[in-house]
Amino acid sequence: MVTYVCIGIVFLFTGIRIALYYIRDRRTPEPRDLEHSLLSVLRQGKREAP
Amino acid sequence: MTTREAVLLKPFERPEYAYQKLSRCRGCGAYTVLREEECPACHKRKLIPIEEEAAARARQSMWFERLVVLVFGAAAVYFAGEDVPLLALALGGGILSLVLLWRVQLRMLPGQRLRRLAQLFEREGDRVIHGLMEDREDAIAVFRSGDKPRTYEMLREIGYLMRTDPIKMEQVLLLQTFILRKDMDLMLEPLLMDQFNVDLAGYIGEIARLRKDLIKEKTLRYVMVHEAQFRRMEDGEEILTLVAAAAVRRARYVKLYPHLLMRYAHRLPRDRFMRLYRTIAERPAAYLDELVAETYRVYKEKYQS
Repeated sequence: MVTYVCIGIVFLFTGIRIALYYIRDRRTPEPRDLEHSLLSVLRQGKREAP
Repeated sequence: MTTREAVLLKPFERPEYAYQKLSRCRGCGAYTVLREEECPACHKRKLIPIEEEAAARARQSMWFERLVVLVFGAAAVYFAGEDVPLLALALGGGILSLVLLWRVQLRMLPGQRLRRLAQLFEREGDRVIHGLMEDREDAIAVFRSGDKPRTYEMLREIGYLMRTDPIKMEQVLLLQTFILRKDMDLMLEPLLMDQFNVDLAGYIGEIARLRKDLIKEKTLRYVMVHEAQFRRMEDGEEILTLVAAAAVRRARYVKLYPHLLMRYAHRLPRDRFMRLYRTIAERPAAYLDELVAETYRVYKEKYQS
């Protein structure tokens, strides 16, 4: 019985993780977007600085 | 007038993306753009490029997932005991899951690295700002110690990420204390400010003299927007002529900035003017009529024998 539970957990966990990888992969930011977001964070920081 | 000094500047590395300049300390989590071996905050040799940090975090989380599969797979095998079909199922299922997960993870690693980077910037934006401020303080300390070239190099690194007018101004002021040469790794567009700046105007003149290839659209736009202020400078007309002379090198600029060329065509050196004349003579219909007329007039007046 414990074996079935463990195998079930293994299959379920693997399935969920793989599904999450594919879902998140579609929403992965482009390096260009990352650069823009960092530069905008730095610009905001500049404005907030006393 | 300040005396200029001859300096040797290290070439500037231009990564594809600005964030690739950032490093993070694995000891204290401080950020820096100054490529030094020691962390400027905790002085430990634990600085790693931000991309490596993101990749390490992605890999770490993947290892954890594999460990979960391995532990439950091993437990399934253990509890299967001597039941051979169940043992085969536990063993086969565990290995298959592990291999499948591993393959997917390998495929997704580049994307996961970017996701981790995005998370880092989102969560640690304030730390990045603080790190760059600290870098600037370090640059000021180096300036006070008298090492101007190193100060400029440091500000150049900081300015690649922190694109603010004060940092640009500090770089321009330092550059104005150096004897500039053609073979130096100079830059212009990253130093263009929102407002007119006399030192920047002087620097533009020097670049137009030394490195015409650095005079591009952004610079030409800056010059056009602030032309009146340039003209009020003592050597403003000379700077504008040099910029016009640099603009002549591409037909596109002749098309886009005809008014600048029209006003300074008569002051251009012979070779630059002849280049403008030939560009226009090739396809006069493609350029502004007033520019064509002015170019022909100057040609007749000064160069037609």
